[in-house]
Amino acid sequence: MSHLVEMTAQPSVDVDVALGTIGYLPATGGLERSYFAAPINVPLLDRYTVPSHVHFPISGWSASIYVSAEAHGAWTSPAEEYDRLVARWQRWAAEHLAEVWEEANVHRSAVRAAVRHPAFAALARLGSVGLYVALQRLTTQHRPLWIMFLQTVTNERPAAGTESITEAADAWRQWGRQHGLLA
Amino acid sequence: MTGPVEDIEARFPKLPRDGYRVTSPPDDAYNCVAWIARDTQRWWAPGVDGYYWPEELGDGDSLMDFVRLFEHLGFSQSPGGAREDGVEKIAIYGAGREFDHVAFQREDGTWSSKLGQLGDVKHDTIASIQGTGPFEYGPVIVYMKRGRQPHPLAETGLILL
Repeated sequence: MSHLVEMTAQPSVDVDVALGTIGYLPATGGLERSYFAAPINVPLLDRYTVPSHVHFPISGWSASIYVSAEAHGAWTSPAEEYDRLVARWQRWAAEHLAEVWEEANVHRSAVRAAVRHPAFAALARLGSVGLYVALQRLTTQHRPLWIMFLQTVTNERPAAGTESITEAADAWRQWGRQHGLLA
Repeated sequence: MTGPVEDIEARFPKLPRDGYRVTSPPDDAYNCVAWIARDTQRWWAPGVDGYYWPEELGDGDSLMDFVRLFEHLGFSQSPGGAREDGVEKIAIYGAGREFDHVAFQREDGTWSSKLGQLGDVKHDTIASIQGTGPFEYGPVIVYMKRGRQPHPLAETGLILL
């Protein structure tokens, strides 16, 4: 048994997930090709073995996720399964995009150039899931990137008047708590 | 999981060949521009709250905006990067009109760079971190100079590896 759900597919990048691996075919090419072309384990999805097919847009990307009905027993509630799968995929995708974006831009001093990386737009379009991941990463060694991400995406200015990365990160975490995005 | 040395060499593969030394652990509190200003507490770049940038210079982030910043710090353009007694030189890397990086010339003529959120390195040649690799900086577009001022951290490093 297989199940097919399609959402708005956006064709700039195709992502195929199957049997625990993922491969990207970047339409943009260029700097990020070496990262995007590498197979990556998807542990949360690797128990699915027989194709079902979901097109899910990570904003500007389209993803094909192959899942198994057989491995999962009777597929009695496709809608519920789909919602659960999408939520899991969104979170996984946001975490993965964040890592890709950090890896691609960790060497930069002028980090505003990092907005051109496709992972930036992809994360931004994930909405609250993307913001949550960004806020969580304010405790990493990549705070200048995430401070810029948050200001650019939200157009909010909670860190106005701060002049250090630590002060700005604290201000953004406070903003995240006030908006119910961080506990 | 990779370490700080692997992170640097994966992005700047010419460094091991040309000669270099890691002189600090990774640190996201300051960047290469702050390194020139001897400020290890702030991230110097325009346009984002929490970064530091002199207010009178505005929000532009082109290569020429960075040149104006260094002029603000007392530098003027120099025809080249050859070492001169008593002269402090910096090399500004870019791609087109975009600023990529700035390196500081140590007293012995070698260079010191803070590589984004990675660590500081002492590198023997200016070309070791420029190239066409996916993470390498664009070429040196502008050299600047001023009377040499002490920069003890660039001479000794924050750590000795």
